Amino acid sequence: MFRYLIKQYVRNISRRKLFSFINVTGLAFGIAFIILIGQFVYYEFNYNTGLKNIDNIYRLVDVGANNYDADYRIKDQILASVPGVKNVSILNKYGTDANAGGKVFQIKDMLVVDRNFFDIFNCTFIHGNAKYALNTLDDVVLTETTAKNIFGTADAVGKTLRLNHKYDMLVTGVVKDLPENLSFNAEIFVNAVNSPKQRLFYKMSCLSFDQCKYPFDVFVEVEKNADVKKIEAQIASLNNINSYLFPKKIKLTPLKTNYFNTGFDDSNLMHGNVELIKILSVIGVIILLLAVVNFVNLATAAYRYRLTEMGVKKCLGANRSTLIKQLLIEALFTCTISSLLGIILAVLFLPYFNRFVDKPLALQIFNDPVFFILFAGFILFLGIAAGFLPAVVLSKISPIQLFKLNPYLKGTGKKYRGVLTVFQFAVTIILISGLIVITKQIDFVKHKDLGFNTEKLLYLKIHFTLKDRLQVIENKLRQYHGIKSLTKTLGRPGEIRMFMQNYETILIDSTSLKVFGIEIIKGRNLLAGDVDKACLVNQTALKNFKGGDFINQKVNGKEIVGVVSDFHYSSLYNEIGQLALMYNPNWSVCDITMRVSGPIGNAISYIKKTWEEICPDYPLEFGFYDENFATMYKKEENLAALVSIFSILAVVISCMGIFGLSIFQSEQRIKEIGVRKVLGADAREIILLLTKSFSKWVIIANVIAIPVAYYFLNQWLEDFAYRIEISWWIFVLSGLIALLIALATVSFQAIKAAMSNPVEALRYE
Amino acid sequence: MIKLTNLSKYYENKFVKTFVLRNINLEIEEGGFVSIMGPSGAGKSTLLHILGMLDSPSEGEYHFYDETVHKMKEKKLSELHKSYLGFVFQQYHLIDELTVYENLETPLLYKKIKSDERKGMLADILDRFNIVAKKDLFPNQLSGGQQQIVAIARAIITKPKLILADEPTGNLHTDHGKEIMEMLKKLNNDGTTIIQVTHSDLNAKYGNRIIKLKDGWIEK
Repeated sequence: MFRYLIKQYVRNISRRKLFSFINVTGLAFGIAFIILIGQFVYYEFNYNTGLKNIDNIYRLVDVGANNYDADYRIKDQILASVPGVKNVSILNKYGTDANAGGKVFQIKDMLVVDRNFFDIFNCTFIHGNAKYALNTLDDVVLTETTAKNIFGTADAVGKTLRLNHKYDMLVTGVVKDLPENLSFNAEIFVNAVNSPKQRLFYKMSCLSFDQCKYPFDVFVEVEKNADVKKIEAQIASLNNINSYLFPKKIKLTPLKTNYFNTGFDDSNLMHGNVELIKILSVIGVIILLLAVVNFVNLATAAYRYRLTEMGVKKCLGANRSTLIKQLLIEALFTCTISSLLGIILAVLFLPYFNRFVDKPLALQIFNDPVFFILFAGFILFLGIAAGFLPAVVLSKISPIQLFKLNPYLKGTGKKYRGVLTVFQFAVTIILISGLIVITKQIDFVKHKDLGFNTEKLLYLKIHFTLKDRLQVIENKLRQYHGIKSLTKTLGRPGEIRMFMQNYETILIDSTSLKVFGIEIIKGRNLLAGDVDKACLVNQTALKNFKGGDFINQKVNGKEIVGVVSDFHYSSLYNEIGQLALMYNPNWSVCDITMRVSGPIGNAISYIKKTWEEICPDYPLEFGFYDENFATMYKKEENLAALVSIFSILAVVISCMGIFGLSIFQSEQRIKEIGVRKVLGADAREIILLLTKSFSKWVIIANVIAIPVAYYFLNQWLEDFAYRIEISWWIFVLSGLIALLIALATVSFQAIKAAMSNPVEALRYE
Repeated sequence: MIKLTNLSKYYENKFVKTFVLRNINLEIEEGGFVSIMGPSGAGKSTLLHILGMLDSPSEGEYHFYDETVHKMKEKKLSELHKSYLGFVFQQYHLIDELTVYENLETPLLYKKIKSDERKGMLADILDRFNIVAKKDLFPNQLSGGQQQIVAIARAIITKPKLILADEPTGNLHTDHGKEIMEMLKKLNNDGTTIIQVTHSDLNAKYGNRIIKLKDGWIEK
């Protein structure tokens, strides 16, 4: 019986190639995306699971502290007096520069850790020994890749590496690279004691001169089956001499769930992008639904082809459940073929997808049994879900139809097809309007006037240890004719580094406003004599003074002498807040801002050459202000790219389905068309007749799509402090585009039908 | 074999009952060859559908041997189809995707007959209808007459007690039509009961009883 079904199935699909193609490719695309998204979600939910003792590792957070981290001294106390704790480790993460062999390397992930770290996080030493690594403050451990990058060999033990332009460190170990799906990346490791010694980088907050807290992320590995609640309570009850240093409210949270635990804000550990997972999942399901809709529509519309078979089989003794079973098996066959094609598509798309989500995903369907079983189960479910409605509709066919002379005229499942097609159009309209709104908003934020002149305006970052060379750099740059003007600031639009008395603060000098092209609207500019005495504020800050009067007002002890027009100093996600501009000539960390004229390329190569001459041991970090601001919307541009890919795919899948339906429709009405033509209808009227019902669906779809699209797009725009309004024409345009696409798809078939010879249509079968 | 008592069929549409069959009382003996005749719209086809258990009466009773058909569930009905009934249609209705051989095999599959036995029965029927050479052809490769021969072969392969034929020669040339009618006559002689719907007096002559329908009544 099964063999017989396969035979019939194969002949069936090869007989109706176009419909089989539409069904299989649509489903294959849907399945391919579900595979990719599933792979991504699977990867995301498996963060840190590679660790041997992941179930016993907890992160100690101080729920009462701002950053949820705790002073490093708690580690020794826990180890000394809390039973059930196996190991404790502390961690911080910074970026730094590393010099070796006359070259400079930018290190993004320098982990400041203790030796226990290597135990808890299963680091394997390739060279050196965990026992002796990080013994002193001047020890450094590298990962294999970093060692190869810097020294050209993994065996770097005994070599010297200068960190942060100041500290010469001795390489005492090289470890295997940490797994990719760990909550933090690592390139080099240094001793945590550097922090309280205030070497390299450190965070601290002080109550008084001698009471300083050095916050770290603390990881606690407990004994197997230990009572975590009890340990938590015991840690909280530790007798501590200094209440300022001791965490206010301790909580042990499993590291296993930390990746999605975004409640604990922290800069050291990575967190999953729940938004992205949500968006991707929704899109994947929608693409799949569109494909399933095609399947259902075409399968039920193929009624006239299946009529004889279903009716005859019933006459021959098949009951309805046998036929439903047969139809479900057929749907499963289709899904299986589609899934094979889907896997191939997934393999092809994987590199692009990886670039998009920025993860090194690999297809695991065939080497991970769990994944394979999940996938097989999904295909089974899909087959049954897609096959259900057609099975019910087709198996209902009554054998009485067989006795009719022309049984094909009456359609079946018509109302489902209407509803499903409306769904497809509605999705298309939502995606198209989404695409328009997202593109418009990105365009808006990228091109909005920032309040200062960004034309050919460059910034150049100066490391704080370059203090001695700053004047040389400045002089050399000023010599170049292509640099029109130049100024130094601490902090700059796009990167604010100071916050004083509720004011975002940028330190400037008397030339800065002119270079940036920022206007003074009240009072006066800063003068040479204002050093450390006076400041300017922006318009927004002025609003907070009674009657807009700033005379005799102060910010952090500096008198306000003038008001500048508002300009954007951070991305357009944020509203412009209170800003203070202070005069501070004591430059250490600073940014040089310059406006170039003439060819940009020449200016850049001059800057590069100058940098090479003066600071060959420092990385050159510079950029254009407008580009810098534009990169802040990378996330949205990614989203726009994603939405456009899926919109196109959704439109193509829907179109294929509608095209298939239009063929069925014109075949079903072939006699009607013939009669109408004989009675004098011309081609135009026939085309109108055939496209009318599809147009009706598009209009209903519009009514459904507009409020849905409006709601979600408005939600998305809420993220921006500066946003476009959703105007009515966007929906009119999307509706028209959908209608045009539908008409273009349908008219191909309609024109063909209208041009046909009525004699052909009316000929007795 | 068949007994219809006070059987009616009507469609209800917004309080109006449209009768197709009215108060039919009819008995058909086993081994009979009955022709149902009458003008278009007289209810011939509906009567055949009800006799063939494809449609149910609105009122009245239908007894097939000792079974009360009018009270039966779908599952039981398909059992009866499998074991007692064979259908022949004006438009043949062979399954397009299946070869002659596979078309003939279909009813046996639904009867769950074992492979060896199936092969025997198929060889037998191909031989009997003289279509061995055509067994691997698809329906669209056959002429109308040949298709109807295959359809009849398919109808009788399960050895049904009753064959219901709806204008079996309606789509055929006279010569082919004659061949088909003779084939049915022969089946009847071998003991199969046959009920046919026909317009043709010539075809009706092959039978031994004529039931005339008019406006849903049996004409006396």
